[in-house]
Amino acid sequence: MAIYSFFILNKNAGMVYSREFTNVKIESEKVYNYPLEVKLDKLGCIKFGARDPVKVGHVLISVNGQDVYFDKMDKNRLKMKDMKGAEDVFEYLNNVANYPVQLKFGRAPLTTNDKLVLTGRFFGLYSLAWQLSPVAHSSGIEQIETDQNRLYCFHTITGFKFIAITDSRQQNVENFLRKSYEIFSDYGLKNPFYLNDQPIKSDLFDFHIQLSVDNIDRL
Amino acid sequence: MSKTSGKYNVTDPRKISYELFTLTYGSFVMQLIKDYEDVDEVNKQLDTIGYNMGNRMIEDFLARNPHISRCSDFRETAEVLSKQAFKMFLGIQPQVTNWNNSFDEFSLIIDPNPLTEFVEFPDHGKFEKLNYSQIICGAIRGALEMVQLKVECNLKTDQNKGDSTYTEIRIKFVEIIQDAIPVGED
Amino acid sequence: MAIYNFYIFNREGQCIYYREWNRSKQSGLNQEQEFKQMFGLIIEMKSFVTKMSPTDLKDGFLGFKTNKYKMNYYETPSGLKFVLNTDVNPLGNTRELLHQVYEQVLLPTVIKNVNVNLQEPIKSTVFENKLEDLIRNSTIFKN
Repeated sequence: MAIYSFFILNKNAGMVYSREFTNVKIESEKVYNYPLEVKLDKLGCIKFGARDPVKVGHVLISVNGQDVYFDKMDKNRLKMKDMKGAEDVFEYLNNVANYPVQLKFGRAPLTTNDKLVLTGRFFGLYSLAWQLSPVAHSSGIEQIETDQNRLYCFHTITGFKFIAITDSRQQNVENFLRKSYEIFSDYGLKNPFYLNDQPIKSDLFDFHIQLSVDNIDRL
Repeated sequence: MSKTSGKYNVTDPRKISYELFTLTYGSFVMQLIKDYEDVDEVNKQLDTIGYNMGNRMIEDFLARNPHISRCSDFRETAEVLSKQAFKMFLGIQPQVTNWNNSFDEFSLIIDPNPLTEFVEFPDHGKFEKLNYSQIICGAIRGALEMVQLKVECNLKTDQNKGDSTYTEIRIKFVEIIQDAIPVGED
Repeated sequence: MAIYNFYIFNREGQCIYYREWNRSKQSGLNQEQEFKQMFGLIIEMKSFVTKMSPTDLKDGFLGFKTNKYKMNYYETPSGLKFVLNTDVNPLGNTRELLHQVYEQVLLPTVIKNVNVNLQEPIKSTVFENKLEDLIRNSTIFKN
């Protein structure tokens, strides 16, 4: 049971606060022989041919310990550093002479930019759910469910959205989000130095959020 | 693929006699040969018929086996195909063998093949190119395509080819077919 | 009276069946547009949850809730997509019910009927009657 992450969005879909609590790192490294049995797309994401613990949907993180990256100057090709400088990952993997290779795959962690994009997309989903409602006076999305985890969204009348991503079994998340609204109004909005709609950078705020995450079952 | 079941219960599929089934299939192939008069064309027709059957059989298979989800590699596909799909539709469990190095190509050995059990090919060579059991290949291709796996599926040996008494089906992974995306979204 | 409406989409994203029971609000769109929006919502949801999830998913997206309704989603590995809108706390297993629709209604009446083209909307009355039976007799509908 866990809360994975927590966000606050303002009414313009701007991200005011974002924080991760449990660091879930899913990575695995394995030695592969030629020809490569995993099928990758251009982004290094596995489409097929994955055996546990590597899974379809994981991305290539490193080759023989060298991190791979996208070369923005060179058509976003997937590259890695080696002795000669930089090398195209797919050219490397297609060369039988380079085998066996040690590849590390994992779930790509979200970058700040990813989070901004995703929270923006959530706004679209939120209003679509309202529009397609089969009953009158529906709100937008309050909960999204998957087989492993849930996203909870608490929407204030003023247009703020408090969002938590949790393990499916985590209870009491609604209470946590309401509590975080109180904390936000106390240590965010009541602080005369806080500028509206700007990201919150306050140790007191962080501290109280952490406190209620730790005590979620007793809220 | 032999039975039509009225009850949707895995433990109680309605059965027809083995002989009736092979006899039906035999007459069916002979009729195609008569109608098309060309062995290549018959092979093609058998493949298409199998494909159309596979398209629908996969739903039957998935509906009765709700715990099977999308495969993450071809070894899993081979396993499900042999141990569950063949078992359910033909009552046999072909052997999975002859993997290539990148694990995207394998053979299914069907021995004995219920379709060819009573079949003896004439010596005159007229039917040398006939892929008698091609319908199975078509069905595999059609079924896998519905779960986004594009494969090539061919009969490598059948009773009329060489002196083997078994049927070998070669299945090769081609690509993952992408999900349909609504117009205007990327 | 807690089941509102029901959609089936095929792999190509076409709505092949729609039916409503106690729907009290229309979307304000024409039906074709609404189907498109609903399919768009599904695709976006699926991609959103895979990206957003910190862990690996198996079945992925299962549905969402607002304060007034719950959208229940079930997809077969062959890409058939079922959407059932119910009240917020349906009394019963909606996933199980949707699987039953697939196994006991769609499969025998439509998929096994070789005369039916799966790319076209379902017009079978046998299908419709069986579906009506199953839905109206479910605990979710009655409560």
